[in-house]
Amino acid sequence: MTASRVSWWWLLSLLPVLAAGPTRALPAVLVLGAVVFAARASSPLALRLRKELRLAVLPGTLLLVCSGAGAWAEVLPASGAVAGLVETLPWVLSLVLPTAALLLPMVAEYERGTLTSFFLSPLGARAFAEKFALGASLVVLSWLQVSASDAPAPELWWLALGGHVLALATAPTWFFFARKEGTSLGLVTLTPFFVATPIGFLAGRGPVLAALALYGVVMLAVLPKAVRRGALGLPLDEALSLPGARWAARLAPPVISAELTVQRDVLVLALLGCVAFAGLFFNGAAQAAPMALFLLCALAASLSPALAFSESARLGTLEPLLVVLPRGAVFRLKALTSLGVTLLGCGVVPLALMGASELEGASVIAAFSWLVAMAFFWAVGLATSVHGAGVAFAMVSAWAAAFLGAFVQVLVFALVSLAVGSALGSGHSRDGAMAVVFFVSIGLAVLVAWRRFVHQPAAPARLAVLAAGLSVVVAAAVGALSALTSPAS
Amino acid sequence: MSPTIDVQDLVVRYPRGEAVKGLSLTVEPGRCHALFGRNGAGKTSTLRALLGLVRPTSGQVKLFGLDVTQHEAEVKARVAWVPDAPGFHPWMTVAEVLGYAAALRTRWNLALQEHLLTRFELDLSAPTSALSKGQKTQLALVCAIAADPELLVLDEPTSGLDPLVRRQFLEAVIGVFQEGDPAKKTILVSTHLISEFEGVVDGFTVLSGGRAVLSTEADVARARYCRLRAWFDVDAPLGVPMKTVKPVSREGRMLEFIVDAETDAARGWLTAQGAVRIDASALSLEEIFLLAA
Repeated sequence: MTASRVSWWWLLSLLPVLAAGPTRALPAVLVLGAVVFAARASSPLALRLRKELRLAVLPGTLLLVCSGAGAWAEVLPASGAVAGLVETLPWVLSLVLPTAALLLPMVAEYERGTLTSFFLSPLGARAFAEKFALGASLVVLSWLQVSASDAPAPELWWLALGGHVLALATAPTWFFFARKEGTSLGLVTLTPFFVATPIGFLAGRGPVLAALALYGVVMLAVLPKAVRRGALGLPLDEALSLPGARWAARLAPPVISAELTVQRDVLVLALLGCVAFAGLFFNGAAQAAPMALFLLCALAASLSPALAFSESARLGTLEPLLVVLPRGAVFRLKALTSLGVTLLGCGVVPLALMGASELEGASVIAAFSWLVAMAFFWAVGLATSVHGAGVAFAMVSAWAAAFLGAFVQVLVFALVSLAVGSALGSGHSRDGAMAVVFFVSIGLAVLVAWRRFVHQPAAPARLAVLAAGLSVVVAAAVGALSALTSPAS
Repeated sequence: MSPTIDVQDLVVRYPRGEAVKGLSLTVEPGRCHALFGRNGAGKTSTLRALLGLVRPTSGQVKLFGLDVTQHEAEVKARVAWVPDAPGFHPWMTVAEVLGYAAALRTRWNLALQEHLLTRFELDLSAPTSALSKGQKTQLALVCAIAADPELLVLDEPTSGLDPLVRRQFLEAVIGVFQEGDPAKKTILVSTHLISEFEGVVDGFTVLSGGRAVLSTEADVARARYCRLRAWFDVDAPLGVPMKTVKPVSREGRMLEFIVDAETDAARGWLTAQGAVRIDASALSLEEIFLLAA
């Protein structure tokens, strides 16, 4: 991506913030100034800033767009799934995205081998301060956007604050002490979620603050020692997760066994989702439990192809496989193993758990929608992972693509339905129509992944844009058909 | 019999530019052929196209007479590769890596595997994450040779290894790999360490800017380029009438130059000029590379 294109992305994500009033505009002006300075000046500071803006463009703009999504409610249809999505999105993502926005640029530097220059340079401290200052301004800006929105519940407001504060507290500790890799980042990013969600939903602000304090102590005192000893290289200690995976993997042939072992983090994450679900459910937060489980399962679903392809490429185990097997066979082997693990760990087991709890997940249609959603996250993850980017980048790209893709599709579907003359309903025929849209999206994502991996087209980005455009057209067409064929509610 | 490697007008283009620009290369069975070139000359891209890791933008790549993109499975069953930085799943032990590699192959020479493991003194129970770079390269070589391939592709295999491991590696490649059926076992190696492969390669291609600037048999190259030094009783002549590949060096009564395929003519001319002593020496492959690159 060229420097000018990076600047345009930043400007586009900042424009709605600038137009939203003086409270939000002030920090936005600062970031805007940094963007303009980096684009126009030729000093060493501008050069460093240009690099930081380039590294932060994906998580940073995603953070700003998502945290500002509350403002979109005014221009969107005020009912149904769209409004629900718009209301929930910024609050949920504000637990995860601030940390990602701060730490992803550092992971990128680590994966490219440029991080060492920070520690060797006499200007290293200043360069790190600039890096952190840019990330911190983005986090502050994001928080101003979230707090200016209409809060659906005080617990969510506190949760969002927790996510932002934790991000600011975590970044320096992680930068100096943790192993700078995708799985370590995953641990740090998800910890606020694990810590704050149950307590926040159960009891309100006091315990949330206590949890934040506890987490700060852990981050500053315990975690650095643990990561130095290599105990937390995985989302959970490898000593815990590996024997279980090995036991299961021994039953399979060596090639499948290796692929299954690579997928162990997916099962660990899905298992954590089940634990979080049980904890919330049995403590009286029955409404919040499925949402927590869904988010963690969706994370695991998008992580699965990233581990199969991106992590394998990083470890150097993908190319030896490609030298001895046809590319199509390697794709099928990895994709099908990953899909199997995803459907089992993120589909069948959670649904069985919800079924046993006699929650809404027990109904056939809800279970079907759950599986389609998991397959959607998996497929988008697959499309973003096959080209060998790091796991962290593949996952952020997958989440950005999945959320924005789902949002745009639901939006187009709803607007076309309305334009054709039918109010947005919530009947099963609508669910079926949306399922068609998502099935087409899943098919297109897998097709893009197949083309990128097996046929290696010269312009994969063009292919992805084409597929995205096609899925939007399908959403519009199905929306129109649905409106024409369903009775108005 | 078809050549083991037959590349015609190969072009490999990445979004940032062309890495290989119309390369043609033929290697017959049983030969050890080297690709020499500076960084960015296109060696690795050529190897990756041969191995099917990148799709050629244009041109034809055939291994054993089969197009690598159309007969992927047949070709890959007969090829093995040792990369410059071998990667293994970190949780696997040496024994598990070998089991995994064998599971991907239709042929596996267990006796050869045992022989190489003993030779390299690799501990079967050691996790791969605890292996040194040299041991990882040795393990990758065991995985490659035990698969009994007809073509062994080595990409900078000895870079970063200590001299002892380098020697063990080369002995294993030449002694063990080509031992069984030398007429069928072909090696293609890409390397910077040209002197290491001086007595090993049968032929070589020098790449520069994505193109082959010199492709020849090693013995032919040594015979073709000759360094001549002549001493005179009086000041040495100012110029040389034959084709030289390097500027003539003249220091007082001594004259030094390198001729391209005109050694006898140059000797005769030097004698006619009154040279009292003439030394002729063949160039090493590294010197030939430096002339061509």
